[in-house]
Amino acid sequence: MDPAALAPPLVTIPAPWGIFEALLLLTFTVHLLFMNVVLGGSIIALATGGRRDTPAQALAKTLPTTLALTVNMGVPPLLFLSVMFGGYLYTASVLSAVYWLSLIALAMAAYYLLYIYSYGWKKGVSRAPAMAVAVAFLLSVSFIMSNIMSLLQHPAAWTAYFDNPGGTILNLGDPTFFPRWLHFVTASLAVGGLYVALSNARAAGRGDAAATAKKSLGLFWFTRATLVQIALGIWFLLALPTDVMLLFMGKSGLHTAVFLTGLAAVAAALYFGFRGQVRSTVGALAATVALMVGMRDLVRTAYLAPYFHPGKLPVVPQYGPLAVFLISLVAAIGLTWYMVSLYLRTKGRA
Amino acid sequence: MDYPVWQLAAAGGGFWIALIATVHVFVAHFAVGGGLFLVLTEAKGHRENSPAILDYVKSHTTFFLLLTMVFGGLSGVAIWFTIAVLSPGGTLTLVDAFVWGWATEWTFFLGEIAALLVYHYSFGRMPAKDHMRVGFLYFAFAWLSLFTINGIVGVMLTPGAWAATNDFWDGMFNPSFWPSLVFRSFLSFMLAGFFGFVTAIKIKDAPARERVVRSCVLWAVISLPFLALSGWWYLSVLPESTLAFILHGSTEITPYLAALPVIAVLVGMFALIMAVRLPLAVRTPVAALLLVLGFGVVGAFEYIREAGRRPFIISGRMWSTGIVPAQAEPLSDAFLPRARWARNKDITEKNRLDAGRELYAFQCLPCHSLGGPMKDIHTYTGQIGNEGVSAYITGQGRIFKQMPPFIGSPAEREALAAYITATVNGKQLDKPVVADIPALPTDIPAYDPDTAPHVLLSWCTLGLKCITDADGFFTFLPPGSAVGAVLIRRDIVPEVVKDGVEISYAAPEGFKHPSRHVEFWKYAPSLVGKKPKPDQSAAGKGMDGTLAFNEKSGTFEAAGIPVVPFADDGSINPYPLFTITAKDTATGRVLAETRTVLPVSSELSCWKCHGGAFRKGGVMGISDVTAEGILTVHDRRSGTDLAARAAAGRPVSCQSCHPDALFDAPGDPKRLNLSAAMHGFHANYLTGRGEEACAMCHPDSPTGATRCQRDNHAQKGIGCSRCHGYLEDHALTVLRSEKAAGKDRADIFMKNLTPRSVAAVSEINPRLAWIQEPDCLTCHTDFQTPDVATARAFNVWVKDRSGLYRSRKEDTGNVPCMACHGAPHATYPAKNPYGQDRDNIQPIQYMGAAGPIGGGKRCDVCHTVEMEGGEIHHPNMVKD
Repeated sequence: MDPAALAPPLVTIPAPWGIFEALLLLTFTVHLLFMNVVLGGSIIALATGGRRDTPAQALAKTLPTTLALTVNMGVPPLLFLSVMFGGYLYTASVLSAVYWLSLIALAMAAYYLLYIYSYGWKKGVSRAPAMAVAVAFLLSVSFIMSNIMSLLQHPAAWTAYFDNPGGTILNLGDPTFFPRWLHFVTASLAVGGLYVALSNARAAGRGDAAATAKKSLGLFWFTRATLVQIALGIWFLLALPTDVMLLFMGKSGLHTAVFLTGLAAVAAALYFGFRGQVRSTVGALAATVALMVGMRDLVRTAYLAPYFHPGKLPVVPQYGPLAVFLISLVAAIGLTWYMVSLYLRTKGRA
Repeated sequence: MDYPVWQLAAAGGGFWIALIATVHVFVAHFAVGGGLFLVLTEAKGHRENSPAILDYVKSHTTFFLLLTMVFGGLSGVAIWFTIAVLSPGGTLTLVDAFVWGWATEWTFFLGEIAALLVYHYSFGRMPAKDHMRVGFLYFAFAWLSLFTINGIVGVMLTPGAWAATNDFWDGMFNPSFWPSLVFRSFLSFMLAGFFGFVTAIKIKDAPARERVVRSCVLWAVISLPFLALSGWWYLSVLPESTLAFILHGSTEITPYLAALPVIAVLVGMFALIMAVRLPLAVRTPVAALLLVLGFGVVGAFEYIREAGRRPFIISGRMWSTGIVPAQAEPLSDAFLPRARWARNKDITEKNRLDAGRELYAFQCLPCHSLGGPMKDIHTYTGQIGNEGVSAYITGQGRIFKQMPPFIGSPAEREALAAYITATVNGKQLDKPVVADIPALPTDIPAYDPDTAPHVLLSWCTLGLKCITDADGFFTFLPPGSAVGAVLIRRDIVPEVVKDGVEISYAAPEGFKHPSRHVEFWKYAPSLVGKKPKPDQSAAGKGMDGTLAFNEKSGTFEAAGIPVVPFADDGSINPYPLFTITAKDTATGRVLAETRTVLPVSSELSCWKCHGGAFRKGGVMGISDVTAEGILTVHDRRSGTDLAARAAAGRPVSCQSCHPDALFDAPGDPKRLNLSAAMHGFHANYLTGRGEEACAMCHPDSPTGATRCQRDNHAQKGIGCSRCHGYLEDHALTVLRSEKAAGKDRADIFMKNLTPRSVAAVSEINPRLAWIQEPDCLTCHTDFQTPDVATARAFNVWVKDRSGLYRSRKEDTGNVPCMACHGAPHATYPAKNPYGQDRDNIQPIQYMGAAGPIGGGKRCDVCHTVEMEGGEIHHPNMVKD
């Protein structure tokens, strides 16, 4: 069966696709950063929880909130992805429906486990088993996500549906799957470590010994994970279909530029990281993530090129609702800023 | 068809979305109302200077955060995940139309989360004014997110102008937007009160506890009247057809509607009980009960809203199957080749059941689970076989609109029916009922053509009479057959004898006690308002009796002979032979004797669609299960109480409502007559069939126990449709007549019937049932023999009863056509399944050969001299 016959139909969208593309890349980058902090921070908390100067206690306090923000920031990329690639995303979701739906249950359970872990720290009780399960669940969530996202761009794998319509298809046969997933998990370790370093940077600057130790620990996780990342990234690149891979190795100016700039950014991040310059590292890391998100998007578009491009979607524009969205966004951000500032003012008090 | 279908079984039919969505809505509405509850209770705490109340608000906030942010938030995302897999097409339609609405809603979530986290983590540390401002901001964001999603959910039910304009604002501010918003807001406040109880009853400080609990009572109770009013408002903005469906058109929705006021009363009661200072051991279960009742309100409301939209997922735009009506046309084109995600493209013997599985997945599974709680298909089809299921599939969505029509070829329809019957219900596929018919002796009465002075000709006026032997439940064909006779004195010019003779009839042995075999006499007072003696009809005729001379028709007649096809020895015979005897009144001498079949059958295969089986011998009879099935569906669809009446021992005849010319029954003159109602309704379920459709109800299955279409036309390969049309044609003739009489109800049945024997409905000539029937002379112009291959009498009707075959006579006006040619559907030479010449007794008795009396130049049957010429009785009498 020709996978092209399975390609979903075109839909009309209410604005030029570039607007959705820009919003998707921006909001996904934010989501990814929060997600990396949660997953990486959870693993680091679990791994270092028994130490004397463990970052686990501080992490425990913020992880539930960070997960809330991760979920919240997951909504816009899912929304904009649905607009541009919805047929592909939802087809992949149906094929893996059992996993797709259990993802929510796993995330919810992990969320409650993080609260249990956090309350444990407050009471001075170790709840490492709760955190271990939470980590397992979060890893499962990332595993399922990587499956769906890699399946959506791989229509050739969809024919498995005809022998298995029960919603339990995974994309494990795809040679890019494991490098992809491991790349995203390792990224979490790096970003999680960097978050620990960042949280302790100011106190370390003031000479707090515990903070200094934690900052070093965080940077250690960051730099070592990033080095592993480079190896995984190369594996990922080489596992790509040849025609897609070559785009990033000179065949396309845009693709190669994004790749090389990304490499430069990660080099800068490592450089600053080894030197302990946390803020510069954060800047370089954010740039790296943004560029990697762009690269990931280019890979997806290349995979789907034989079947589809968002530019093909007919546009029936209506800009009023977009304006309302932007106004709400500004207002929501503004009011959030206001409320957070009210909160920060209280931090001094008991 | 554009997307794959998640092949579920017991969890099919929308189970996941029903569960996840109702649970989410329950918690999410609390998230809205509870936000206002928190900040107003905090204000109360400051106002009353009560640290206990403020402590309560702080702990309730923690509970609130853990429940609404984690469970409420993620279950909302779960809805999205679930609708994406259960209805990708529908979800994408909404996403592409309302993406900015959802994006805006997300900005409100952002503010909501920020506000709740700040409110929670700064509790007790932030100045009261600032803290409460944050609380109000939380509520504002939460309510705005409700505002937004309310629009998108509402457009699915009441698209309003959006259906034509596709304008975002038309969609958001659709006809049910405002009533739904108000309803949901007060639902939120009511739930806030319920959840408030959960934590408030545990406050240790007694005075504070009572004050908080009482405020929860106010939240709950004050919401109730506003819920009722806005619910009323909501119903009032629904399109008429949607409202009619919700209120009357769905047996599933009705209990939920009925539950809502009951729950409201219970809520009021138990909420007020909470105001009384009762021990925690009492208050705890009451609080739990109120939560359950709150969930009941949410569940009932959401179920009514979703079910009210059937058969659409987006009203008017997309069916629940994800198929767009415009793309489905033409409906009878094969479906599987059009479905990207079907692996079977055409139907073969080998893949039939698998193709059926796929058809089920695409067109049935979105609503019908396989063995689960959501409209298990077994519940709807477990009692019938694939023929019945095939009929259901044919008719779905035509008269009753809660389902979309089936899309697919006849072969696909049969494959789907086979899958449901064999694979899902685990039954054998239907096999034709093959009756083992004995050859019965046909004793020809003695007759000496040389000396006999008289010829006695007799007939049954109906070639077949059916009885509905389900008298405990209903009747529309009670026993009562008619026999006619004419006694001719043989002469040069023969004479019809009109007086001085007594003509009597006698049922054969074993058929004299019909009351032993059918329950008509037990229920006759209820059915027909009379109380005839057993084995006698209401007209007074028994199984043996006399025929009376009718001046108008010039023949001897007896009507209402209650013969049934069941003999005392347990055998079945739809063609009992009655003996007709003519005696001289003065001397009592027998002048002539003959035999006539009085055909009668109850081979109505209602069970194929209505469940049950044949009542007698597996070959005929309406069983109790079948009869009850019929009444149940009639009650459900027409709002009657026939099943209850039958259960109370008071069944009625169908003619008590439906006019019927067969019995001169006036019924309710506004209703469709029985023929139009029966044919009109059932034709919708049996379109596109051949003459086997007739055999679903009429006893002419070629392998059945009756095989009533047995005349000389049948022997030549002329079937029902040549005179009566196919079922669609047949139904349209009587429906058009009813429509012309001003009965608009006919429209709903005619809408989906396409004539097969003429080009358009406008070409169908209306006819009054039983009164206007095919005219023999349409084919037999000038009494000639037409071309057997092409002759058709459909669509030309006699003007009135006097034109019917059974009413007409030959040109001298003395002898009815039936006397020489035989009964309708048994005209000579007929071939009876119970003995070849059973219907041909009189020709053989009088001529020695089966054929019209006097045919083959056998004028000597009546004339004692040789006759010349050949047009006296009717043209073309003598053929060359």
